[in-house]
Amino acid sequence: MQTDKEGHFTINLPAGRYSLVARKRADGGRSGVLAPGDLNAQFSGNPVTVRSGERMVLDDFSLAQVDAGVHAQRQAEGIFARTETLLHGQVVDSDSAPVSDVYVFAYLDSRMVGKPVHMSVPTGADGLFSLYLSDGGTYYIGARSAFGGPLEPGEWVGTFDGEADHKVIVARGASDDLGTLIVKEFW
Amino acid sequence: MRLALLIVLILLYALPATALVIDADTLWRGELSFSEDVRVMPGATLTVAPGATIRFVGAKLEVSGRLIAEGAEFSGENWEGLRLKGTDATTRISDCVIKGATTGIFVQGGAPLLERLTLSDNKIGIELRGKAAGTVSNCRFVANRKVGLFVKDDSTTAVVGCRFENNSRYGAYLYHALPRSFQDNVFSGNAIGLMIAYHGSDPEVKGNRFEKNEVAIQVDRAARPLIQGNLLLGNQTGLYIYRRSDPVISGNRIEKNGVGLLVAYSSYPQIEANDFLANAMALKLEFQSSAWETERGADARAGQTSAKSAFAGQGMRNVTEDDRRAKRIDGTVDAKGNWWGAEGTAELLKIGTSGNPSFIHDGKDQATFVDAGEEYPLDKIIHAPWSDVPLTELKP
Repeated sequence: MQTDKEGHFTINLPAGRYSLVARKRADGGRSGVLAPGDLNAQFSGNPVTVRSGERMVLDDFSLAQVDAGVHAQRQAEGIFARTETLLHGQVVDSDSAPVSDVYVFAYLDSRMVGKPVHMSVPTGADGLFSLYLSDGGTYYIGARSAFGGPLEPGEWVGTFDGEADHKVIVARGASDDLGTLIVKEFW
Repeated sequence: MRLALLIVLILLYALPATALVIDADTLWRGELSFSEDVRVMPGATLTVAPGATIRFVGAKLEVSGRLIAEGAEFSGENWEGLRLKGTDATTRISDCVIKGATTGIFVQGGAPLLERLTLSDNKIGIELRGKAAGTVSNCRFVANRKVGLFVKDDSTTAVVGCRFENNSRYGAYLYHALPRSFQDNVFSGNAIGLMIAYHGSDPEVKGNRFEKNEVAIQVDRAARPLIQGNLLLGNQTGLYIYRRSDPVISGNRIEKNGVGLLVAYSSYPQIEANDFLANAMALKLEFQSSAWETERGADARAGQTSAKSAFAGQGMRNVTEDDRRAKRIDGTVDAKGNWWGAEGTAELLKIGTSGNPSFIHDGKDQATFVDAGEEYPLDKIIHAPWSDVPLTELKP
């Protein structure tokens, strides 16, 4: 939901309990990891419980710029953090050519929807990736050019196909080679 | 004195710049090379003088302030291109060449003016997104590897007077975009001249010329544009209406194409007041059946609903089957009120309203087709009544 020119917003919701955040990305994007300079706010009254038929007027959100230092630290500690358990390999197209600027994602849920639990940094020109995991376990692995949002024409997308359900079982402390992960352009 | 000055300039030009943040008004001229990103911060203006040659190696120019460039060349190796982030109409790039980039110019929001540019040999020439406005006018998009001009994400940028030539995949691609004007453009030698795809992509495409493309215009996946007053000449396929797309096709001159208009997979366009002239086949149906649509259409599309993961290949934003369901499926495609050329009209007069014209391929020529082992009847085209006179004033 976008605010209007005065910063007001209205969200129609089913009854339930919600956690509200407000974000404005400097690049105008709708999803993805926040970058230094983006504006971010957690609503101070979280969680917010809405009952059926109720209209709530909330206090203001206080937006603050994402600080570069804090951002770098969170990146190092967050889903990009280096750990002892990892999957690595190479993202390639159907002609086996390396594909750059592709994220590799790990999900706990076989449907591979919502937020991944881990993700790689984007691949470079060599297509190589390292996906650091917080622990051993069963993960479902996918790759795409964008972080979140619906798939758009021109994006690369693919899955780990060593198993039919894209599953990888990795032991704690292991460094497993997934080989090549083939992506295709979606048009 | 002259010698000393020359030496200084040569040294300056030969030294690659390092990471650079521009936060005050700056002028670039001559030859410059950068191996790290250059960022123009809000409030700052970067002016690139005519004749300047700017080269990036593994880097990009990112503009959050203002860029004024005229008559310059931007190129490089493994470089990402120009990124305009929310720049307003005071950012103006004109008469420049941008080549060899991942995306020549990436516009995220804002309303920049892009005029008389040549975008060549990029992966994507220009990508407009984030509700970008502004204007792209009189630009040439030549031999870009994927897309000449990609307009996405509710962008309303006017696209006028541009030429799209020999782009490997798409001359222009409109995806969830409503250009406030898309006219007077020329498409030639592209694999697909203009692609309009996905539900919610309903632009007006008027007064353009499409010549010698493999496919001049493809409308795909439930898009519903208005295609009006265009000239489609000498393409392998003039219009390809595919996968539940229901455009309005009106007032076009469709001439000397291999197939003038190809309709496939449950698409029900409105085809009226067009001139069909000297096409090898004027109008053809392929895998087009109301029976198939009724029986299998919704199931075939179920894998594309937004509840599915992006990794399962879903690419639509909150589109429902109701959005995509055909309004009228009675086994016919309506093509009444078109002119079929002098020869076609003579044939129609001879065979009558219930005859089977040689320039139309439908269920009268091929009763059924097979899909997944089942036989389905091919729809029929209603071509009568037809016009006895040309309906457009367009000339080749």
